[in-house]
Amino acid sequence: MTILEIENLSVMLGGTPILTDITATIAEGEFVALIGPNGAGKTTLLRTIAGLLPFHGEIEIAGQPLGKLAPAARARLLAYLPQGHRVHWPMTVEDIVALGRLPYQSALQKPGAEDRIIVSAAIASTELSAFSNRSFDTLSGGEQARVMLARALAGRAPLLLADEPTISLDPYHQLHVLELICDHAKHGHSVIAVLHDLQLANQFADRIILLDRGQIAADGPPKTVLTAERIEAIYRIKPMAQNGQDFVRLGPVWQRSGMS
Amino acid sequence: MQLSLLGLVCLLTALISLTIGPADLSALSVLKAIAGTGTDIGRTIVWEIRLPRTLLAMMIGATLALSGAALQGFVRNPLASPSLLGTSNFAALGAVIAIYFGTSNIFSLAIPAAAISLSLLSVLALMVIAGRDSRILTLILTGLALSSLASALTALALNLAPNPFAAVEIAFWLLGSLSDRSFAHVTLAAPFMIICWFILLYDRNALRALALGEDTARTLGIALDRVRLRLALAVALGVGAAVAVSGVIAFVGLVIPHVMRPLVGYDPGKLLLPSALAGAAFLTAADCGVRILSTTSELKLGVLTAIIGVPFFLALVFRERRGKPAVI
Repeated sequence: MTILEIENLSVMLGGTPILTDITATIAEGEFVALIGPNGAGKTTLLRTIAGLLPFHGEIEIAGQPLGKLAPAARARLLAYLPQGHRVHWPMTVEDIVALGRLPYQSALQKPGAEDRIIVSAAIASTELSAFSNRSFDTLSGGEQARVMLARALAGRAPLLLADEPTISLDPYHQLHVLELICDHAKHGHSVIAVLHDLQLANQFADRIILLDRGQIAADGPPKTVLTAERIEAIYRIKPMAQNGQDFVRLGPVWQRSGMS
Repeated sequence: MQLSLLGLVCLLTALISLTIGPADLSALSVLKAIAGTGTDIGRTIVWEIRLPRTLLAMMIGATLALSGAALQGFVRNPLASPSLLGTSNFAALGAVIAIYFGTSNIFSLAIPAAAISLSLLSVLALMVIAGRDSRILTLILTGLALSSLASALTALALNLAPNPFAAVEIAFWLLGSLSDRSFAHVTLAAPFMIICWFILLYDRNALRALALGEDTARTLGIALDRVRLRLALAVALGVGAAVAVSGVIAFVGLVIPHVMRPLVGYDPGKLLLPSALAGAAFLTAADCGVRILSTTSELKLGVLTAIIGVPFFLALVFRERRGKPAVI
């Protein structure tokens, strides 16, 4: 089933065209990596799908036009994980993750038993149970990234939009966060994640969309998108001689120790 | 648990406040008077003089602290408060204009109406100028500019006052006090304040979501533009009505939410109700203070809260300079 359908999408910001003529569909349970050089329009595309920017063209989420969705209904269909891990108050992990349930609560309602169960499940799945009463500012970067992810997962929305979820994390935590997102996708949720690391995109994504100067340059399984010629043309980098054309076929390079 | 404890403190402070005054009434006779029994004199003193004053102190304390907590949550900054951002000064300017032109003699709602309109104007101006940018400097500078403008225009009114008595009357009124208030003042201010409380408490989830920034709050289903308007209206109604009946009482909206915040785990939504109760108790206690401290003329309530508030504000600034997360 299709969860997201984008047709002829164009976005202008301050009179400058950022995205032109984007057409793509995302299926249920698919993990799509959105890659491209700086300034290609990855974040803009993600923010547009999240309903944060005005656009031309059509975006449908679960068959409903994005522009016609009420804020709360939209919030139940998609979760947005922005870049960076900023929380303006040193709240506890549990309180932050519970924010993910807000789309299901009316103004005068308190979180119910089901909300609490889902919040603790999100905390457990991101291995944060030991921290649930800790204040956010006492956590390490890797822990903070997982708190933000748990918050996004707690909404149980069919579509997760993650903007560079691995940014400023060490290799161990990059792998951990991507494993969690992958697992989320395996449970039937669709994911679009902006990634900068081509190796990780190759390793985790079912499909890669390569953006270049506001347009889709390639869209397909990692092996067909990440060809040496295309990467050299768009990223202006090329594989070192010893790996030759086969760098994509190298497959995963690292795994967390203790994992089989 | 926390809430019922705070509620209890509120009630106790109120009871103490009702026993303070030139006539020596015990707590028991005060309670009898409220219940409608006891002596005639006791009933008159409690119902006509002390109860209105105590009720006003509680309502105004709650409104100022709640408005401060909501503003701080909305702009994600612990230094926001109605008095620091010019809201109270604009409300006072409105009231001064109404007094100056004598419209308050024509219809009683003139002062609150003028105070509410001008404070609404200032909150909207603040949100337009500093709303898109939660940096502390923009916010404080905008607040400073707005409160300076209001003070300048108030000074102009004093300058042009028709006679020295009018000028003294305005100046004294500006200091903030609750003495000689009647039930007429309570009924004048209460409806606006109650609307303010309901709106602010209604939007507590929006304040909570804003802890994650504006983008994330929007994607969590918060219609931010509407929240911004509702909040501006609520703060203007509450602070405008408070200033209209009491003059400027500063720093309650800054100090109280700040003290309560660690007790609720820094959650800007959970902060609202405890702040309101603590604000009510604090201002009632402060109003007991000005009546107990024997000075030749009664110490003004607004003066006392400012004397407590300014060192507190400085401590907040120093704390920030030491790198503690007073401002994030």
